[in-house]
Amino acid sequence: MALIVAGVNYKNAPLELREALALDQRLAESYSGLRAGGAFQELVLLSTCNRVEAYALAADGPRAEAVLRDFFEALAPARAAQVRKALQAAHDDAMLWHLLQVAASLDSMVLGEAQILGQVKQAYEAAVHHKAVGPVFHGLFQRVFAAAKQVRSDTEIGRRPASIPSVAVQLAERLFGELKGHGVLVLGAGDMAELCAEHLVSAGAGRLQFFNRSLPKARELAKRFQGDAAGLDELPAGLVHADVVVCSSGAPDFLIRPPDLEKAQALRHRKPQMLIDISVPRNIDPSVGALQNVYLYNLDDLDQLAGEHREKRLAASHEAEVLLKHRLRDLREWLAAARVLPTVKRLGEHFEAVRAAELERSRGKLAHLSPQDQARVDALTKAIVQKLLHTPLSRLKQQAAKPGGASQLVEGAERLFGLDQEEEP
Amino acid sequence: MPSVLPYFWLYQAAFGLQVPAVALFLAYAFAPRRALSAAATALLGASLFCHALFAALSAWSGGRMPLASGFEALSAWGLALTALVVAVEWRYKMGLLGAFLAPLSAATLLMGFRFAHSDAVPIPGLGDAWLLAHVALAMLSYAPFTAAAGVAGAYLVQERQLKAKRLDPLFYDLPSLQDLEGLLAALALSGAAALGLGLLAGFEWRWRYDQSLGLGDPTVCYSVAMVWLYAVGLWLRARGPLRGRRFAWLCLAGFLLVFFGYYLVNLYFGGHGFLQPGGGR
Repeated sequence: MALIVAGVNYKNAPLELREALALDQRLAESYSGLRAGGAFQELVLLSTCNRVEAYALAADGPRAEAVLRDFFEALAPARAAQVRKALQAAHDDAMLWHLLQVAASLDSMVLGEAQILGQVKQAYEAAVHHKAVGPVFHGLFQRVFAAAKQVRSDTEIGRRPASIPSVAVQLAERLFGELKGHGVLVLGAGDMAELCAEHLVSAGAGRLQFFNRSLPKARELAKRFQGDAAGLDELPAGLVHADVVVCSSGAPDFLIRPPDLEKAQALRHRKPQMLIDISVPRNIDPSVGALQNVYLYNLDDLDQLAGEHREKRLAASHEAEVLLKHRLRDLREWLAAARVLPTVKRLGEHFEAVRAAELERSRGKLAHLSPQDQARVDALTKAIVQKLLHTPLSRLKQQAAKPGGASQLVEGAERLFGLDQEEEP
Repeated sequence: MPSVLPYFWLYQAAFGLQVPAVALFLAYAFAPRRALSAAATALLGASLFCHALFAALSAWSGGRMPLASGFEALSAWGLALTALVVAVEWRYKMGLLGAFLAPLSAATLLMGFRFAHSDAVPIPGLGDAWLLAHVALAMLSYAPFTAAAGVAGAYLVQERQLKAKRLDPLFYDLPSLQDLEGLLAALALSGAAALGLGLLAGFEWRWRYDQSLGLGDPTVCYSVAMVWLYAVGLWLRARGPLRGRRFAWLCLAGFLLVFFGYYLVNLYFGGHGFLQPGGGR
């Protein structure tokens, strides 16, 4: 029994190639195609914008890798040579380590990003939906998810945002807690202001007000974000209701000065305000930051924080690797025991098939029995089979948990009961 | 320290449990692991249980509310404060807040050892509901004032970091500034309300006792001033001028004044007539 991962990711394949291999629209056919060949016992396909990978459990590792290579090449026939060059595969321990790193976001383009764990979970659920997951991958993926969650909770890898808009959102959350109900004022119509607004809205921010020299542009943004639009002459009134001000206007001078904020602060009973000035040249007078309950951040501040966070994530990734190595050791031990699970399952299925067939053959001779008695005979035969199987299956599981594993015992059981000659599922 | 107090070992156990709890909360500030704060909160909960049991058994064996001596007052203060810290930890589940609050509750219990060797001399008339309410409310009011001081410390750290644009690990394990300020205001308000009601109960008792309000008592005057200080502070916060950092400083200063008033005036100078043998006559 071999574990294998094969696929491409952002490190070895450009975006166009990853797009060409994306499985989103052809997931069902991919599962049915791969499983039809009989090379895989269990299979999970992961397709995100940064990676397209297949995780498989197979009886024959080299054969499974060859099938996967053919599969990926067939996904983008026009780029077969490029796929061949970019495609990477890893087996057994290396596959486990890769899966742990992917799920824990140590292999992500943005180190520590939170989405990948959800994407791996979705991929696993899709595989379950397509009946491509058996007892080994069920146990394996649950353990990998637990390890990834532990990395997120026990290290600082995902605790600090690493992009400018997400740093802005986190600062706002540090100041206000939940952003729900908090007013946001967007001054100007720069791309970064729009991006910050998007992040703030997705974090739950309340109503947005857009102020711009060009009212039509402000209205356009207001329509998109279901907010209000106004010209710069209404800015003083707008400041009173704004808990967060995002400024990216491109104006040559300051649009917000200390007296403007002083007036707004007095009218809002000095409730805290956060100002984000991402315009160059700056449009908020820096001396505003000295006012009580006013918190001002400019582009350099946010960029510096994001940079520090990226460094901290890198430092935390070493800690995370140590943690994952411990989990890898646990996984190895668990897998040694789990390797007998397919045999256990097949042995159970084999006995059940024999029982059902024999019962069916005797159906005519038992026809005189009442339905209740027939049900009793059915239950009796089931109980006999379970009793007969109990000891050998227990021994198999016990032996698998011991050092050295149960490979000889598994092989012996498969030969003894003819499982090695049965067709692969 | 040998003690003649019954069930004192429970008080010692309560304090003994708080010491590792404080250590774990402080460890959490340097290595934020959920397990540390969870263990610290559990220890604090166990300490609360021991302390509550001690208070209940003391009340049962003495046949009176255990609020009649310096030790018993400090014990009530510490009990209420520990309950508040556990409640705040349970509400916010942020170990770092515990690092600010738990040392205060442990320190309050520690102060109790200073007076634990002396037997309580029952206050005459403690059976009177008004006097009992007065003492109980006054003692209970000190707990939120003390907790407010811890929260004010956390607020000032968080506020300083946001202003200075420096986000060290402490930053990530505190509630938001707005939540901290809300908690601060709630604690200050509940402390001032309890102290104010305690004073009113005391006035009522005193009036029944000798038709005076006891305003010549320095502790009474001091406490009235404290209630006014907090009331004015809360009002100015609501109106704006004392919002934010200034209110946090007020809570810190208020705590020091409460501490000064209670610890020095009451316990060392015997300033409050109710606590003296003879009940202020």
